[in-house]
Amino acid sequence: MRTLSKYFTSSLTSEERESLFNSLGLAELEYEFVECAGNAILSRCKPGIKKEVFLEPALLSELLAQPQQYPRVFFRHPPGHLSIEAPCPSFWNQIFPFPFCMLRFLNTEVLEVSPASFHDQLCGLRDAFLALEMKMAESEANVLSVKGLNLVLVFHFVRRKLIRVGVHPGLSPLPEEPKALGEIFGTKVGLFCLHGAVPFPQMKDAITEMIAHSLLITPQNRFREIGL
Amino acid sequence: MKFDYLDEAPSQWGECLAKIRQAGHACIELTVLWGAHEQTRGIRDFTKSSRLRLEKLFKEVQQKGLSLELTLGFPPHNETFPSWLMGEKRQALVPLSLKEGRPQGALLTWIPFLSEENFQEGFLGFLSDVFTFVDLYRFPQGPIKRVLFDFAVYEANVNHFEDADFGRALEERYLSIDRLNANYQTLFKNFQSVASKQGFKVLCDKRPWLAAYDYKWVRNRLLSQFRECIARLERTQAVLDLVEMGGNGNTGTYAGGVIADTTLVERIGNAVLPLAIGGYVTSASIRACRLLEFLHHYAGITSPAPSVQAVLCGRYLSRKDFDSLMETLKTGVELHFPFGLPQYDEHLSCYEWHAARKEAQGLKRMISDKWGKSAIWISDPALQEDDSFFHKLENVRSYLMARH
Repeated sequence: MRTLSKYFTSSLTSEERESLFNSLGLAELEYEFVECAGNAILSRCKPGIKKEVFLEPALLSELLAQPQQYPRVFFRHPPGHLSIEAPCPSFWNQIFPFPFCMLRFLNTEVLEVSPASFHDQLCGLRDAFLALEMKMAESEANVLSVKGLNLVLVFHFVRRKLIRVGVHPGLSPLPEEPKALGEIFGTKVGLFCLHGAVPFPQMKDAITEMIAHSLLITPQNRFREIGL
Repeated sequence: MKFDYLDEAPSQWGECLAKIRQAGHACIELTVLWGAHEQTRGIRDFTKSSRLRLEKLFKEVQQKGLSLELTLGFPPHNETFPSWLMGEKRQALVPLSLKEGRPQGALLTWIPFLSEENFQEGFLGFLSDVFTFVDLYRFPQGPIKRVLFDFAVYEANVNHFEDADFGRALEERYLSIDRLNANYQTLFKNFQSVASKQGFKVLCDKRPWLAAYDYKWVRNRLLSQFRECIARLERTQAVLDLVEMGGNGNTGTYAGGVIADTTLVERIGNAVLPLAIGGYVTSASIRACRLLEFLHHYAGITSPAPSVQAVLCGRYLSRKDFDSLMETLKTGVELHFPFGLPQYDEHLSCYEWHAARKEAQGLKRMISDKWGKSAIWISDPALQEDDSFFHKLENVRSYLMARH
């Protein structure tokens, strides 16, 4: 089946992405996001619970001449052109709000992070989420529960490719007996539980631990899976 | 109140609608997506899959005493486009944030192109089928009161050259290539050579505002033709009184209290992005974008019934917007041009202005019998986009707030 229609999950709203982001503790992360085309700054903001927008300066060279208060993430369009992204749902982009979702371009020529230590930390986090995605790809449906977040996320994969991320109203709160998930979805389900916000440097380890403790649930009633 | 039937189990539709009714809503907004109903090319499903049974849904809506407003077209959603269209050769290039319905910076992405033969055939067929249901369930016999179209994503397509009619539409505007060459100081041999990414890059480098105006003019014209195509469908005729095609007004005012020329930008809700024709972005459009970002940031500059309005434009302003300003002047409003007065329209004809009289505080005042007690004020000297641009703009804001 191409879509997650049989599970009837609603797509993530912007508010839900923000909630997830906050629940993971990532909103505490202080950095400046600068989007520029050549030497012209297109937008500049300091993310956080209340995003702060900077209007000055107008030129990147002027900004670089200023002392750096926070780590900076530069998204650089080629001079005179805006970058084009092929339509393909990416795990990182699906679950994180702007501008954090732009970190999906980490380690590509369009994204630059300074200082190097912050870059390394972000790479560590990105690798942890990549490992999570690979683990999730082993099951058609995956459920992610985050302590403190009043939502349960459902990730739908087909042939190891992420198709959709949504919320399932019937799964909040999670059933006490994990086996019930197999019956709800009628297919193999990966269950991942994250125990709330952790400081950013420890986030990578928390996700690695979550993957290690994840459960794979196989439905008992296999007839349901094939629609009989 | 929006209701996404694709995200709800069909067995829950009745319960959800009852809750909406109990909450005091009388009307629900429903988006019917082509991509969901035609997952296989040529096979449109409105009855087989339980989640796609439109008739059942319309009956449920009526039973709950609700009325219905349908949206068709291309709103941001996973199932807006059928997947079988994704491999087509010609593609539209649009802001990713508009396609996804959430901020994504100034990134662009590809979507199916609406002038593609398979696209038109499929979408018009889908509309014919939907309009059959609309006719059956139209108010007062049924719940459907209105049908709206969402073409916003195509109103921001920066790759409309893919349309074979682009050159022809540009010719309609200029009539002869010599006129276009005269306006741009170029040496194009025909309109087909202009109607390309490279051709428009040359125009953008020569006169960014005029190139942006011309591109949007042609784009709007071709989209209007597509709307007319829909209106001519046999099935549309039966429900034409319910259908609102929507319009595209990419040039024009920005917000109440401040009138800003938006020719050089794409407006997406409250956000603005630089217009990037064929992906190519000029410094003029980046400046215009940041100027509007400033306006959005300082929303306090606006006022519901301001007696003084700021007009933010460069040397060019469309004749339509200029006429609109002159009408505004007749209502007793004073217009302040911090960047100076516009000099040319889209045909490069000059605007005529009366001599301005110097006043105190670095301002010039201009009056006319036609404007009654209204006047035009010009900063003297006009603001320049130099290093202290934002600082000066802040002064304009303070000045306007004081005048209010």
